[in-house]
Amino acid sequence: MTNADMASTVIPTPVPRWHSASAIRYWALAAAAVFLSADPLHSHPLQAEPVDHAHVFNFDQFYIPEDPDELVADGGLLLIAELNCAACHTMPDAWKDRLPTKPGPDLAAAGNRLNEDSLWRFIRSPQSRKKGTQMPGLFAGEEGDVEAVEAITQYLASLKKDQAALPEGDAMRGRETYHTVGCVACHEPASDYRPAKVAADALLEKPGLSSVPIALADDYDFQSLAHFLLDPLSCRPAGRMPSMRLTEQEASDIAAYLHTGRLPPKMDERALLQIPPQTVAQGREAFISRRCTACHTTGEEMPKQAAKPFAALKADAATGCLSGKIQSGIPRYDFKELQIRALRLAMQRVQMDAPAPFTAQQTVDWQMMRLNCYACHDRDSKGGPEEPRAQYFHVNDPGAESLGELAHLPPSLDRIGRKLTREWLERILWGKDGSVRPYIDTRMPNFGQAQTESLIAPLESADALAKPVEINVSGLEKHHRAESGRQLMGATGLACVACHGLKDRKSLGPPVLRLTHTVERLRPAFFKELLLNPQETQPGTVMPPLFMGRKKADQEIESIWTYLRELDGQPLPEGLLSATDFELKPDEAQRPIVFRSFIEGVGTHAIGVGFPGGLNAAFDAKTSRWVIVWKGRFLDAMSNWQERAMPPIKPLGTDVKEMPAAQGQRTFGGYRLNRDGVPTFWYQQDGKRVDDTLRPTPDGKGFEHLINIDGQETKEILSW
Amino acid sequence: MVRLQQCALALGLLITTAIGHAVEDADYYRILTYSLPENVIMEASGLAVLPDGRLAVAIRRGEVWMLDHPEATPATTENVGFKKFASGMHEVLGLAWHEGALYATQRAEITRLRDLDGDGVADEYATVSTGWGVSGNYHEYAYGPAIDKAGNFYTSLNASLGKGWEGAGDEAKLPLWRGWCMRTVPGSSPEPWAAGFRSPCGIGTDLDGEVFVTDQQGNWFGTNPLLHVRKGAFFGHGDAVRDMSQPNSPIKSPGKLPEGITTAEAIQKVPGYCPPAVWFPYVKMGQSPTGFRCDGTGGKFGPFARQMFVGEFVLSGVNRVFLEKVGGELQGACFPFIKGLQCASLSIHFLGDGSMVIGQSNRGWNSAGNRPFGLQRIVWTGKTPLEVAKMEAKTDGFNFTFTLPIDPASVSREAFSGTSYTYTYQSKYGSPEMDPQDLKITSAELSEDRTQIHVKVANLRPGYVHEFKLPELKGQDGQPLWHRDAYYTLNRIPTE
Repeated sequence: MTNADMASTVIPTPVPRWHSASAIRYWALAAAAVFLSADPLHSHPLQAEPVDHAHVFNFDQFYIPEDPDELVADGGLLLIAELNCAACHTMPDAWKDRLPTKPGPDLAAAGNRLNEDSLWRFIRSPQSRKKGTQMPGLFAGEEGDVEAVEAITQYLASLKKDQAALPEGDAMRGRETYHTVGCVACHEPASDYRPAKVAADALLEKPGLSSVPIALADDYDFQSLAHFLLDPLSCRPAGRMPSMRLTEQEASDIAAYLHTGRLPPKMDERALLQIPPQTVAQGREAFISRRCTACHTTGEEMPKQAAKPFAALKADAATGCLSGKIQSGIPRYDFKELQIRALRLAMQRVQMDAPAPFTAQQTVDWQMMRLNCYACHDRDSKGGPEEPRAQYFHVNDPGAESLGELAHLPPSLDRIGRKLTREWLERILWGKDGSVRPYIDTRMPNFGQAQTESLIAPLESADALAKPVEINVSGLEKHHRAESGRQLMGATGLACVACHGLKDRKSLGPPVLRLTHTVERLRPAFFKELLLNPQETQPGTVMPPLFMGRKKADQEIESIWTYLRELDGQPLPEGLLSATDFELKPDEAQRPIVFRSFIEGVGTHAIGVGFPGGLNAAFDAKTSRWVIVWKGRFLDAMSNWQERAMPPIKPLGTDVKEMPAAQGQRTFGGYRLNRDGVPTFWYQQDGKRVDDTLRPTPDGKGFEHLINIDGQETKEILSW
Repeated sequence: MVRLQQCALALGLLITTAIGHAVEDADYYRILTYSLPENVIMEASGLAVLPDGRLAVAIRRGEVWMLDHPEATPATTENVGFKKFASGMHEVLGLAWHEGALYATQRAEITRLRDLDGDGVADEYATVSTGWGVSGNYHEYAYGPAIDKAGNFYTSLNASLGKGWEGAGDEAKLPLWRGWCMRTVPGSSPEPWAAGFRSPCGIGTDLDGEVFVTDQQGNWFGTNPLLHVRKGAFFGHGDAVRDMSQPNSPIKSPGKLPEGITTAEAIQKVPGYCPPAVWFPYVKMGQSPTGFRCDGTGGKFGPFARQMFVGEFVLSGVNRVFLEKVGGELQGACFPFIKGLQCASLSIHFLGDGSMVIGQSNRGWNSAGNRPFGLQRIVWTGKTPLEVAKMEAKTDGFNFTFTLPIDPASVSREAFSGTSYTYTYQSKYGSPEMDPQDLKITSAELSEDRTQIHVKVANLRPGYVHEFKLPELKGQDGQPLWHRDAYYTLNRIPTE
């Protein structure tokens, strides 16, 4: 298949749909040039201007050379943690909790992901193959290195797993997903992709902060890349690449996108070197002896070779990882100057003192730094997406545009530890759903339980109020009634529904988050704190101070809580209730509906009968007669089924006609349904039994009125 | 020294509380929850068990559902089998099975439901009792039917709280018999039977066929009562007095009702006033008693055979009542039984296997259980709790009979305490506990067989509730007393 062939099959389609990742490998460059009218070499995230040092996002974000030593030392601790120094260098006991090891990538399926040449190149010189990687180079080119790299390559290439086939990807769709679900909070956006809200003539601002490199993705096998995107935590348990909760299709689409513009492999150094063949067993041995096992797992128990304890390291050693001359076996990170300074300062600190104990907030901050929560969220005036990245945070509901940043950007995490319940925090952090903002495209990623469990308790204590807000949610007080809360929330109450949707219904106005899961999500005390004083509790919120000056605010808030707690069996508040929610309509069986209620024009003993063809009548069981007939819609059961006051209901249809008054003294007996569900009413009139039936005429235009007195039947046609 | 003792006492109480919590209800009774068919609002207001074992459930939306296998475990919809039997009725608040048919009480009538063609769905809705006033006022609930041994039907009618609807015609202004209980002899019109109810949400019979009603704290009721219904009984609510001037009223009007006296005094002063067989002290024993049922399981539900189990709405639980005849009248005690149900209890029945079904709905009111409706089952585990089985009034105090023998070491007079109090009888809402007095307990003696404790009280007061906090009693093997609260409504002190 030639490029021209492919192009001709694609051209007629307005939006090119590139079906197979492998198919686009060699021709996409041409196709992309045609359709994107930009050079993919420059537009693609993979071709982002690479950083030239082991990249730790939050170090680059928060530390600059002008910072004082004290601060830079903090950054050094972050580097020590993120670069996993503790994996080889045992930390002094006092620092073991502060600087624990970080699980490195699991290589049990490394052979699926990269071919031998790619593995070889990456192991041989990580920083040249994947600029910015945290994987250190261990092979300076000394005697035996070439063979060791080859052997490890053989070993890793042998590590394969069966994996289920994921669907073919669509690169254009992948490009859209990549730029909208939140990947660009950490990774580079493509320069040719314009976020929807950037004006066509505006200059697209480039991120100022360096991006986490993804330069190896184009070497990945397509299926493996898609699997990695679908579930990154399974091979990178550290959660630094969190799961974006992609569907299989989305994962394939992004994989296809990242494969756009793949180039044929260059002539390979590996082939040129004519390395003597190495066995898998030799590779496995080298994998252990070269300390790969310090960071990596392969699914097999392997010994770890410890290096010097951290306390014995010398910051100014002539041959160490911080020196200019790095020998084989010493990890080479290509540190930049500030990193070296930071690491030296941090080493000093670790070697001299025990760490100062963290406050709860410092614990939170530390873990948020490590996981890069700050890429999307701010807390304590720190973090949040930089402007050029913020423009990629989309809403999918135009109604949310008016809310500005509040709708677009992930929420501030101030007070989050007293806001969200533990269960909800777990859901959010561990990828068990938990989103309440359907209008926002960006997804809260799943960082995995292992990395985030330690965040929850410090969040709770950091954010706790010295004097907690008191709220009674026992359900025992008289005002703890769902119905009271429902009315308060309704359009003629406090009109919460003007902004908040519930269950499957959108709000009447802007689509602020839905309140469906409020009681599982919010701590009751925070709910009250927020309602009593929204601006204080959530600065910048558009929530109005509805309860200010309301004498019964405490009780009203508790009523609303009760309603939200019982929501799943409750009707929606006024405003969200649809006029047809309780309307009685014939079911599939198309049988008449019999319905007793207080019906206007009939009385308190009324029995409505609605026929499927749109003819209706009401019988009064007190006077034993048909009182009204009407056409069209039947009755609304809302009053009977929901409203405490149970007001009389009106016929919903048209052409209401009164029936003539009854003759004689009648005593009601009841009704029977025939096989088709048509009721026949019976009563005693002057000592005789009367059976009385209304049923639609065969043409459906009126009623037949059948009256049977002691076996004598009369029939009249009613049309009106 | 005195101070020290008080401290010790306070400590003792604390410890007791802690131990009290250690007794798990689940040790004795398990709560099972029915899964419900989707989109069915199972606000279960009435229950009836058919001779073939099926359970009929009336719901407030005017339907009756049939459960083929109500005893199935787990109670999934597939295992249980739900089928709609009847629909279109006007707020059914009670259901009974009687002589081959179901009887449901709607706002304006008792309806007999029959399936004539045998397709499993009712096709006959026959009116067997109607004629009480229905003004369209929202609070005019009608409950029942209770059915006595002779096959007569009883309907308890809520007082009208507020205005009627002018569309109701004459009844808008003069809805008859609101706040009354009606008796219907089959084939006749309902006749006024007893009066003075407020919101008589539970109606049923004991195993002897005596009719009882539970009512709600509010005006004229200082707390929630259990009322023993008999012809001509007046239970005190003022709204019912108006219709006593009707020619067929079985009750002579007491005239203008006094206000602000105690209910103990009302027994003496209000002509025809009939005190409750049991008062449920407010909050302590819940805030809203509902449907009830007596245990006719012959021991399959545990050691409380023949006693009454009363649903509790707000606390979402079930209380227990022991009754005895003193001076020709039924009176007795109430005890906590089960709490922590998913929703307000509204109706209760026993299934063939001896387990208890609770029908639930909290629409319109509040409840501790946070589900809006549902069905749950309470199953005895077979382990007997150490509990007060009977609390009988004696001339000089009370005799407690326990379900199991008591360890004598845990019995001492000093460890018993209690108070007595009454309520205000008034048209205003509710009442605090009035005229409280600590019980002067002079002795507490364990019987030879160790199953009874006779507690002598020097200051018994007729017409008063006598509340006991029982000691931390132990069974022979150290098993703690399950519930330590007991409330006896001492309308009369036995004379012998």
